[in-house]
Amino acid sequence: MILDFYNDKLDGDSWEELCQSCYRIKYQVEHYMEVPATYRGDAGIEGFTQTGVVNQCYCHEKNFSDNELYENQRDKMTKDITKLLSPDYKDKLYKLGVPVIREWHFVIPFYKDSRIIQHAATKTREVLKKKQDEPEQYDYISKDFVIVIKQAEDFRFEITRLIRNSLTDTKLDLVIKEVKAPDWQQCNSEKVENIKRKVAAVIGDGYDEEDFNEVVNTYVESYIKGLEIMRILRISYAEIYEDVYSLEQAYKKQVKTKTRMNIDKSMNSIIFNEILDDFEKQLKETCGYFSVVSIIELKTDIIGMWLADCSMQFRK
Amino acid sequence: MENVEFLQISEQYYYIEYRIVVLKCFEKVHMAKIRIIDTAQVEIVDKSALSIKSVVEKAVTIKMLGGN
Repeated sequence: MILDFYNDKLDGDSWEELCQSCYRIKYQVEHYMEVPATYRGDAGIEGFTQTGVVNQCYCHEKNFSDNELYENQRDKMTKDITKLLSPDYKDKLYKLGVPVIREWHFVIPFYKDSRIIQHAATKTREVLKKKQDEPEQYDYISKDFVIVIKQAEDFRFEITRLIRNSLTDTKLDLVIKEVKAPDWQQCNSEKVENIKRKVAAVIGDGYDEEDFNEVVNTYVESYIKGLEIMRILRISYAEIYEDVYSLEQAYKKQVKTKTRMNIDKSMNSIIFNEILDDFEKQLKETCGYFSVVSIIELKTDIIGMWLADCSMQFRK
Repeated sequence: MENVEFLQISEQYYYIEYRIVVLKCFEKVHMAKIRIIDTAQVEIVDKSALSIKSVVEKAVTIKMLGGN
């Protein structure tokens, strides 16, 4: 699968922008207020609510191993909690009008190592101990203080809404969960035969068997991946699923008619390429919030589905 | 995204931000067999995904956002 090696494309600024928008939506009732870092440097928090939630966003910018990622996130949390406890911090928060802090959110794209949760618990205890030892100095920290790790998954609804409504220039990418090898059981022999027959009709004579098999395998894999992507969208991304499904269903009818009406088999390849081009355009118009590569992948996957389920009826 | 009008075999282009070399073209199905430079990874992709310049987009993956 070509997208398996495709990593998340986010830098610190994009992540922070996305997080700010998510917090504005999620904590609107609690009057979430962003703290820009431009005046007199970083206030140590990205924003706060009137109910005592403050947040700090962080996005690693390298492809770390799981252990490196843990160490990187741990060090960042340590640094920020040290800042939270520094003597001049109290004054900064007071001037900003930050209420007593109950929850300190560490907002990261994802974590892979449970040691980061342990680290958050250790740091929570450290903060509470400081408060207990010096209650006057740390009166801006609640006795119920807790460090909470938030990841992108916790904001799926908000992020999807922002991207789908083009409220951010960040796109959605359809990388699917660790599908390294296709599950061939999902594609029965009848579907494979359909794909073989349609591909043969499109490419006509003149291809060697190896080329033919490679193209067929690509479409079989795309068919399986397409089913998986549509399943994930249907269950977890309902509005996006509706966008894709409505377009797919409407266009499928056109494809059926267009391919059925053609009686000149020498035109099969031309018609097939016209469909590819036009469907790509339609996908870009309807689902402009997908990354460019996702549009092309999704197009191939849906074409694979049409080849397998006989919506494309090329004559041989 | 600056697409390639006529793909040349053995020429180098980009797949997203990855430099690739074209191994084979399947014109009738609008596909090309490519290898990612400096890796052994060979893939067959739609020709529309290949470009003259690298494409870098800010994106979050559904893998990151979760879902079953």
